[in-house]
Parts: sequence; structure tokens; C-alpha cells
Amino acid sequence: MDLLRITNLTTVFLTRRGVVRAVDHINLRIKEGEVIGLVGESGCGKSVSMLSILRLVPYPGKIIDGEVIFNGENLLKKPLTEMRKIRGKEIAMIFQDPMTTLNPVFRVGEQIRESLRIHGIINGNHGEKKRVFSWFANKARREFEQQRVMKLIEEVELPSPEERYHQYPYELSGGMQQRVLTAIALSCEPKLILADEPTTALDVTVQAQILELFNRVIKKHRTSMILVTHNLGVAAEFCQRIGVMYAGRIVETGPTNKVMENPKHPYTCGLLRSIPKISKKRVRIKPIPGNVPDLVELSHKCAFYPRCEKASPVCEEKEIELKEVEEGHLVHCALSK
Amino acid sequence: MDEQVQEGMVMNVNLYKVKLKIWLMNFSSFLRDLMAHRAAFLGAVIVLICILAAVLAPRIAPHNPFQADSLRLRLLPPFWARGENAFQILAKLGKEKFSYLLGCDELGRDLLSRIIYGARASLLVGVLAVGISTFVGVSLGAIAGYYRGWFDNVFSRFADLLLAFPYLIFAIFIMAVMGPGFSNLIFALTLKGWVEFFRLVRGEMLSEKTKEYVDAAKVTGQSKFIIIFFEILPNIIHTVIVLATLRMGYMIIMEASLSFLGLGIQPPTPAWGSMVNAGRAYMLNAWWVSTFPGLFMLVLVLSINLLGEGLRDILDPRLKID
Repeated sequence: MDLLRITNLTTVFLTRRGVVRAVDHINLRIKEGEVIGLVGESGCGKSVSMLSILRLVPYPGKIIDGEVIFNGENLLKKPLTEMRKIRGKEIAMIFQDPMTTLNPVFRVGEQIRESLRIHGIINGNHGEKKRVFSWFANKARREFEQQRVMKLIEEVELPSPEERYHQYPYELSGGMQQRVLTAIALSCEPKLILADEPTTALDVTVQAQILELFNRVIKKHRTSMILVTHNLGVAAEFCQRIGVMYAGRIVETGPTNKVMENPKHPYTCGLLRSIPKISKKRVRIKPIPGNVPDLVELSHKCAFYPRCEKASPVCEEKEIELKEVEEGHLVHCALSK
Repeated sequence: MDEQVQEGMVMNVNLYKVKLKIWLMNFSSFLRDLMAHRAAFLGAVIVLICILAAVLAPRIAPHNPFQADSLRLRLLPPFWARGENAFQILAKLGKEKFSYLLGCDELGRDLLSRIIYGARASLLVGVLAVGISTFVGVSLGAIAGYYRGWFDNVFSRFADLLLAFPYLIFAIFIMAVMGPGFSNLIFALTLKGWVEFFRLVRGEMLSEKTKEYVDAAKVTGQSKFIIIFFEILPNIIHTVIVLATLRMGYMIIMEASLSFLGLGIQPPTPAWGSMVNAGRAYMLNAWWVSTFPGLFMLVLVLSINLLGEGLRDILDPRLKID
């Protein structure tokens, strides 16, 4: 059974210029313990679709259609108070810039503990989860929580946890901060982690360490993850499946090796061609011509049509559907067979 | 199971030690910053002395501030300006030459004692008026800034309306309607005092709520109340503390102004403003009756302002990176 199944999720932003379809009928399924990469250029709706899952789309945005079935329940139909219990506890999120994501005035240990406290979780004597309703934690509870926080800090491989517990975010480096955020995300042992470009703000060596950490943690807890990134290399190495997004749609999705080796959508081909290669022969990089379309005025049935090198009259004639070209490999293109 | 608990205990003993150590370190570094900031330190010392004087007034006041020892002491000059006449009066009453250090007022009451007691009124009004304004302004401002919408509109327009009145005239109006008295005075000062805090916190909230840590808080499933008051507010509270300190001086002046006009604290309770007013009639032949309360007010308000400015420099955690 799928842990998360998104069908026809559509999120629009109602702006003065018109309706921006930031997320347009996307479909996604995630099994338990699976890592899915969501790649695409800036502004193609990756982050908004993540926020839509948690129903935290910022103000002019609105989810107008679709279903987000998590653990058999439709999150879009849930009352907001129920939603709050899911955020952080069942579905956690890791943001792009660790510097600004941590609250600058609280010690990091307390920030990790906070999540435990909100969801009333203490891993009690026998390791079972208990809900405790009192807001003002008593001493025993606080000690359990602190103990758990220490374990979390150790788990994300921060040295000398006792010192870390009492440091402020500004005293930590970017990589350490991202580890703290990972600890916060892991604190309630969520079933799904949404990682929104978690390594973009870090330098390359630290990126590798953080991804290594994710890998280990995910395997250990059998957590699923959606990794949003615009780094195809990261996605290729880390994810079992990949979804390629363009202009609010998932244009191609499938197992990583199939998408990478045998891309079917012209956009994916273009993306893969524009990665510089290290080889003896000097090859000129071929970028995709044109610019990202304005999402307000998508005039064609296929958003990629104006930039597509394979564009033909067929693209304009019939409705485009997701087609399965091989097992588990879906493409949203009129030309694919 | 026992093992786990034990392990936790050991860990936590460590934790508290570290916690205490870090707290002490932070506090001592704050004190060090304060001492390094000369002006703020001077202000802090003077304010501290004033607070001590106000709290310990019955113990340190040399004479009864409410009643004269003798009517003959009326308008007795301060000790360095005393002539033969004054010494004779003091000798007849069996007092030392230098008693009644700063002289006496128009009813023969010791000026220094009255000033010490007057500090009570000033500080109490300052603390209460600023405290209530802060509480009201910060809560309303935080909610208005976070939610916007009709709540923000209503209170912002109301705040604009209040800002259109000059403070003193507004306070005089309220006092004239409600009649003089301590609680009315606090009410009159608070009724407009919260606006500053409201606008400050609302503005800070608007810029702060777009920060990513707020999204992160939402994502961990915190309620809006917690996000507003326990996530965002600690990030802007230092500006509130600075403003509150600076407003304190202003409130003291306001209290003095109202007392000067006879609308604030009523005689015989000593208040600096009403003392200045009382001495006004004797300005030409007994300058000290008005001058000393005014001088003390000047020093206190100046030190509070120095302290406030200093806190502004010291308290911002985002400026402090080592």
C-alpha cells in the first residue's frame, strides 16, 4: 500500500494578474521507505506542492482540486486541528536555508525538544509513545525529553551533544544547523519527510555528508522522503524514483535509472543535456532555448510546447495524458508512444 | 528500564551544570557589556539608586515629608546658602547647622525627604503606566500584525486616531473628565501609551512573520498562539524592552506635568511635579523649592534614557556575533 498518494493535486494563486496554476494536476505515489526526487527549475512548483501536502500554502494560494491520501486518509478533507497533529509528527519538513529556519533566539536543544513537547511525545519507560496533555512539563517529563534530544543530537552525528544542546543557532555552522533541522524532523519519528532543497545552501562536501546522513537515517527508521532539488546529480544518486516537474506539472516520472538513461520527455532530455560532462572531448553544453513560461498565460496544451525542439502540430490537437512507456515510467507528452 | 532512567539522570545532571554555567556566562557577559557601555552603566547606577531610595524611603528620609517640624522652618534655604537668620532658627529648634540639607518648602517640610518620597510616585507611575501599556500594546500589536484583516484595520485606525491628539492635552482631557487620582492617572497615561507599543510590535511582526523559522514552526504543527507569542515575540522583545525603558522617562515627565497642573497626584502626597508647582510662587526669593524636584526629575529621566539607549546597543542578539 502507498504511504502517500497524490492525485490531481492543483494549487492556484489568485493574483491581480490572473490565476497562476502553480501546481497543476500532479500525481505522485510514495511507498514506505521510498525516496522520491522532485527535480525541476526554479518556480516550477516544487516547493508549493510540498506545502500543499501539509496544507500550508501561503495566502493568495489555494488548493482547488485533488486528493492527498496519507495513510488512507485524505489530508485535504481533514479539520485544521487534526492537520496540526500531523504536521511535524507524521510528516516533517526540512527547509532550504538552515540559517533562517532555526529561531535565532532559542538554544538548539530547546528547539528540538519543542517538537516533542508539541506532540506530547515522551518515549517512556518501555519505549512506547505516550501523549501527555499538560503544557507545562513536569520535571520527569522534561528529563525524558532532554534525554531523547541528546540521543537525537547523537544520531545526527553532532559532536559533544551536551554542549550543542545549549548553543544558539548562530554558534553553529551551516552543516551543523542542517543536522539540527534533521534532528527536529526526526524527533517525532515521522513516516514521511519532505526535504525542500536541503543541501542547496551548503557547500559540496557538506552536501555529501548531509545526504549520507539522510540515507542512513531513512534506512534506519524506514522513513519515506520526498527530496526536492534542482541538482540532478543528487537526485540520481539518492532517489529510487524521480519526478521531473515543469510549469506546475510532473512531466515525467519513473525509476531513477530509467529516467536518467532513457528520458522520454523532451524537457528531461534537455535537462540532462545541459549538465556539463567531465570528458576528454570538449563538448558544448546545449541549454534549453527560451525561458520559463509565465504561468498566468499558458496558451498551449503542453506548457513546454514553445520551447520544445520536437514540437509538432500533433501537440496542439489532442489532449495530453500521462502515458506509461515502460513499467512505472510515466510521461506527459503527446509524442510519446 | 531502571537502567534507562539512571542513564537519563546522569545525563541530566550534566545538562543542568552546563546550563547553569552557560547562564552565568551569558549574564556576566551582559554585565560586562553594560559596564563597558559607560553611559548605560552610569544610567543604570543612578536608576538603581533612585529605585532603592524609593523603596527604602521611610528608612532613609531624614524627616517627615508630610508634616513640618516647625512652621518657622518655612522656606529654609539649602545648607550652603544659609545666613545668620537661618542658623538662629535652627539653633532655637535645637537642630544642627546642616540638618534639612536641601532646605524646606513653603510649609516648612524637609525638601530632601519630600523628594525621596516623590521618587516613589514617579517610579510607580512610570512602571505601572509603561507596564500596562506594554502589555496591551504588545498583545494587540502582535495579533494585529500576524493576522492582519479587520482586527488590524480597526486597531490601527484607532491608534492613528489617538496619535492625532497631543499626549498632554489628551491626558488633561481624560483627567478633567475622570477627576484626579492615582488610578485615573495611570488610566489616562495608558489610554494613549499603548499605541507606541502597538505600532512597534505590529511593524516588527509584519517583517518577522515572513521569516522562514515561522514556516518551520507551522510545519512542526504548532498552534498560532504559540507561534505568535513564543516563537516570534522573543525575537522582537528586545526592541520592546528598549522602547519601554525610553517611554518610562517620558511617562515620568507626563506624570510630573499633570501633577504640576494639579491633575495628577494630589497634595499632601509628595510628587515632583506638584512640588515644582508649589514652589513656583516663591521662585524669586526661594528658588530651591522648585529647582530641586525639577533637578532630580531631570537626572532620573536622563539616566533612564541613557540606560535605554545603552540597552538598545547591548540587547540585540542579532548584532552580537563573536
